[in-house]
Amino acid sequence: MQTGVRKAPYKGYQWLWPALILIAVIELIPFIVMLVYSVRAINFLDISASGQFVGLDNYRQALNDPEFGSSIAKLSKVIVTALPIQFALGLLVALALTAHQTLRKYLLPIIIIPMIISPVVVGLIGSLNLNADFGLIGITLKKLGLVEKTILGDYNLALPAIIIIDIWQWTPFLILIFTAGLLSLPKEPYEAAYVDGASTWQVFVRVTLPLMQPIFLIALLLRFTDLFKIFDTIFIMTEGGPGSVTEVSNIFAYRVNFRFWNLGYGATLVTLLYIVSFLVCFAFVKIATMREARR
Amino acid sequence: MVAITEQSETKAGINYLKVLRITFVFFIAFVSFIPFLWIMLSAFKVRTDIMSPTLSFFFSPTLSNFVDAFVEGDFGIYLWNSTMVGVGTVILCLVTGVPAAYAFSRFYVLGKKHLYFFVLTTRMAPAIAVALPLYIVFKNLYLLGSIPGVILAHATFTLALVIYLMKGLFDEIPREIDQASLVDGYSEWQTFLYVILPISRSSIAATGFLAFIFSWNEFLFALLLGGTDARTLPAAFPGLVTPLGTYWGQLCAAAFAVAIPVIILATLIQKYLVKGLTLGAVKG
Repeated sequence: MQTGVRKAPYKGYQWLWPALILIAVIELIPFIVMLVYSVRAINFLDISASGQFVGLDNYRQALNDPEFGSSIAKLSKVIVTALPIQFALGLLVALALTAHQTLRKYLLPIIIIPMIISPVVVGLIGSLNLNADFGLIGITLKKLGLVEKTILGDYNLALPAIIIIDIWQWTPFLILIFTAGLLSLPKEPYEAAYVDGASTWQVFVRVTLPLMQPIFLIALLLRFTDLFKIFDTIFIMTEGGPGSVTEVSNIFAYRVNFRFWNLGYGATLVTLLYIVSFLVCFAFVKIATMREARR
Repeated sequence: MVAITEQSETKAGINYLKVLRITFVFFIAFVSFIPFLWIMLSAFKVRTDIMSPTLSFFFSPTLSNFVDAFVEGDFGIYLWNSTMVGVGTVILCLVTGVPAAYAFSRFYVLGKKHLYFFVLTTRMAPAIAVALPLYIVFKNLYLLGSIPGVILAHATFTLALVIYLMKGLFDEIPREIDQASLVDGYSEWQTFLYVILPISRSSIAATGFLAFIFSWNEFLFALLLGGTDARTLPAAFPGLVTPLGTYWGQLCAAAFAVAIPVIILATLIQKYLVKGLTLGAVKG
């Protein structure tokens, strides 16, 4: 316990109740409602599914649903491709930026623009620039002969395009926090390493990387969860199409709920997605506390 | 890292590496900026210029897209809704969150250790997993399509963020200040209101700006819960893609109105941005 924390039990609650009531209304009650819906048959377009209790049927259906499975597969593809590229590129740019104060001062605010603007705007940037008839990137690619008619409407190119837009949007986030992280590292280990005659590469591998580990860990967590949540940009650019090639889990869950109005099954899908993100979060906090305990 | 540069630059022949590095950073900045700039410029282009197959950065600028969207179209109303939702979210989260953060910083409260976990789960949950149950609850409370409804929805992720960030900031204020104020005869609430809040003015403002940015940029909640009556700017984007064609000019004008305020706000709180975006894990 920190010194100076007033110990009188329950005293703090008079400060907390407005926040607690609000959290109960907007987080707890909806969460319970979601669980209740997930074990019922509710479909606004089907009168026979009017709220009967169906036990775990929805869950069974979800785990055997090939569309859900394939949406997870697409999501995994996005995560597995985008994440390493964003990490490597982010670290590379951050290393270059830490070495030049002037560059950092003037270019970092420009570099972070894709990350701070609304994902909706990013989606528009994607769809207009990638338009093969009049978009900046689309026309260029067409001239180079890499694209024939369309990019976002092409079955083979749509998902890679989504991944590239995500890399464009989120690498700046990693650049920003890696730069901040690199600048906050202690100087003594570097001085010691150079006195010992280590090369720049050795210093990078043996000093920088280990010191950056906690920052890598938080970056990995935040980036993983944001990728897991990916929705807005895809919704604006392709709405899951063409066909369903960019229909990742969240888009699929959206379609089941708000296009087919199958809220019972939809709530189940959403609960499953929630559980996955919760488990990842839990594992992360466990790892982080274990690391702290070791120190 | 500073150490690395100083060391490496004393060596001869390393200058080409420096040139390479600078070129690389400029290239990245170029790639980050040009697609964005293209949209901002398109907002001032007439339809034929936007859809022209020859790329040109030179064109005769027009405000017609803004007039179409904001004066003749409904985007003026959406801009107003966005502002109300953003300001409302900030006020709601600061009024409830700041005292809560103070309690977490100063008192022994149950669940204090789990605060970080709670914040993480609210940040991590897929938006659809929050939006669906809120949709069901709001439907029964007649909050669908109302600005308070969208504000409450945005509070699901901004409130936890405000509590957590403000707790960290209150932790940095020495407890001796509270104790001195209590000795002087202030009650605990008076200490909070007249001593602690004035010192933390700037951090409260930065946290508020950050919450505003999150609310202003948000799409799915606004789309589902705002309906047509409380539609915010981002939620209005899909409406401009119609079966008859896409209103690119108006979309770009709307994008301009969504992006520029955020870029200005983010510049104002640049130092604070890293801390805010990483839940205090990385100091800016």
